[in-house]
Amino acid sequence: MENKDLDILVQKYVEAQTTTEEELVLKSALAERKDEYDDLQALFGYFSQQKSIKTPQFVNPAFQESTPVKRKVISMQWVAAAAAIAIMVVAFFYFNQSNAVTSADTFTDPQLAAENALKALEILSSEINRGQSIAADQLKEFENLNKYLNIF
Amino acid sequence: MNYHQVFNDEVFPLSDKLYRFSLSIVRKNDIAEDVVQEILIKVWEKREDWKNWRNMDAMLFTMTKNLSLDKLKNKNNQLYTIPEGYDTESDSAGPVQRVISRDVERIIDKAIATLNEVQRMVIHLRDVEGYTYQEIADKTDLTMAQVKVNLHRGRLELRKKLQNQL
Repeated sequence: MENKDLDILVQKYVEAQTTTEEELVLKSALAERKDEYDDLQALFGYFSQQKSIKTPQFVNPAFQESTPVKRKVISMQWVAAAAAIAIMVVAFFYFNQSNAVTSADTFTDPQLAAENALKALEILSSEINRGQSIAADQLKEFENLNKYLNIF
Repeated sequence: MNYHQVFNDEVFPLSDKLYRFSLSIVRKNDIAEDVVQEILIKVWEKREDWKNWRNMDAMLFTMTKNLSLDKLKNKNNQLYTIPEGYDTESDSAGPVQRVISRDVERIIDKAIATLNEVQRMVIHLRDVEGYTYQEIADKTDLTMAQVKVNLHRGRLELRKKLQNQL
């Protein structure tokens, strides 16, 4: 580009009369020149850098407010079918269990078992009776106290 | 209207451009970040009104401009009293090859900071983002003549400052 044309183009640029295409021509023409229009060359370099400056991460407000999830409608037919299967499974296990082997007795001889049971019950009853006699003594004491209280 | 789709396709992807635009006005990263986040929330909340907006893109820029100017007014004192040396930039080089040196960049930064906010925003939209004069007029709520006058004055001023310092 002739010096004169370049000067005119620069003038047009400064006056904000250049088209986008003319500005591209101006930039490439200036890039070929040395020690001319240093200020404009520096400015164009600066402007081209500005587009690549680091930008922060912004929160997307539309993303935060998530779209309402569509609730799935489960038909009653399926619920009924599931319930029927569940009942059948429970019933199967229940009846199977009744046939299962129950835990073995500790005693094989019924006579011996009865004797041991009797012994155990005797110990239990004697202990209970002991408690009863203590309670009766205490009650007697309490009644005596009541008697005195009534007198006064 | 599928608001989510419109927002995700037409609004949110503009975040970076809006951030750079706001930054050209307020000149502080954290304030520009606040501005854009606020705008995104505001626009999403006003989704019922979108059907009345003639031009979504221009509306977003205009809203960003207005909020940026508001913030600039509020923080004016703080923005212009930063002592020299405190506003140093990070040293991490961007992915794009550095064309000009740090020193030159700082000189230009300072020269641009002396322009008024309207000059800064039109220069940014034209020279950095490459919008047409008409698009800039739509986005900034200025007339085409005002856009050109501010571009002209801003460029003239920048050249004068840089010719003295480079």
